[in-house]
Amino acid sequence: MSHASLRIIREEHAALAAMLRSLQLMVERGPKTDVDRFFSVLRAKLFYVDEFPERLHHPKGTELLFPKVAKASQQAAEAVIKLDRDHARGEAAVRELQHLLLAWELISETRRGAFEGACLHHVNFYLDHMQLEETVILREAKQWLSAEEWQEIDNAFESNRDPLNGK
Amino acid sequence: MAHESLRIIREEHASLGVMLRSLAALVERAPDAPAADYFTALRAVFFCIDEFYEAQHHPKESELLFPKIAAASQQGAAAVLRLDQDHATGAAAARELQHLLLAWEMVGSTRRATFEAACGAYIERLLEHIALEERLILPQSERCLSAADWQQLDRAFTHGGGARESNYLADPDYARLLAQILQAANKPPSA
Repeated sequence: MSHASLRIIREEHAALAAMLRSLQLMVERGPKTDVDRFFSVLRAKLFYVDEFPERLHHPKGTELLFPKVAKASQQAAEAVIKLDRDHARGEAAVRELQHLLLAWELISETRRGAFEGACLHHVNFYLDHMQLEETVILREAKQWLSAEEWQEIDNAFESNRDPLNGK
Repeated sequence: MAHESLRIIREEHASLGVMLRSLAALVERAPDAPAADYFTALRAVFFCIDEFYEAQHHPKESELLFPKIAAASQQGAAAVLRLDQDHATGAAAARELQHLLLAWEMVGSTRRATFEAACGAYIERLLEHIALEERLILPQSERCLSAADWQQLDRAFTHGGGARESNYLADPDYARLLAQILQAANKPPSA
């Protein structure tokens, strides 16, 4: 059986994963002719990662879905501890990344390596995080949550949509 | 006796004051639809605050200077409580402002007022912070610190080097950014 919330989570993950991969690809290619545009586009991507998932996607998971699944399943409870910790430091990490990008842009090429290393690390951290949510949390949720719990979760997820995938 | 660290702290405060007033002028005279270089100038201000004041200037004060003042008098302790609190929250506040600025630039004018209000409050608080240090902490330090304390503080603020290499004001990268900020702030408002 399919739940609106699960579909929304997967769609949001897919949009964010695509964004992260395109971010990484751009960083690997580096600035070509239009340097200003390079930094501006990277900044926009990081803005999206900071603004949307940190403020809308995660709170929905953290406040509603996670506690219910953690209560029902030991394996999910362990995953939730790690995911909550990730969420707590996610915002500071993406802002540090923005700072490192600005250092490269405003100071010089000498600061590029620090940004590239941190960016790769953050992209991998985020992809792993989403993977854990999908493999453990969503699987356990499907197995254990009641119809009433799904109703509540589905309603919450449907009230806040991701501007990126437009749904 | 004149201490090198005190001279540098005052100089760094003066430079931060100039940056904050430039920031205030830039925000106050912002055009309806600012061009990219407007946002770059504002970002440069936050970058300097972040990289220099939050990462270097504030920790040195909090670790080496404030505890001595707090231990010496009740008035000093009360001031240090507030100043340390500012230091503890300052880095995150500067980054939140950068996020709000980016929201204005990327999303549009609907996000402008939030940035302006937060930025105004931030500037006011930081200027008060500097004033409190200059009015209370620095004069008291002359009475509270031992010769060994001064040696440690001087070394921290001069990086153990001579006065010339002592602070970021001598760093060409920061000097260039500061010049850019001043130039943007002094530019007549565009039509």
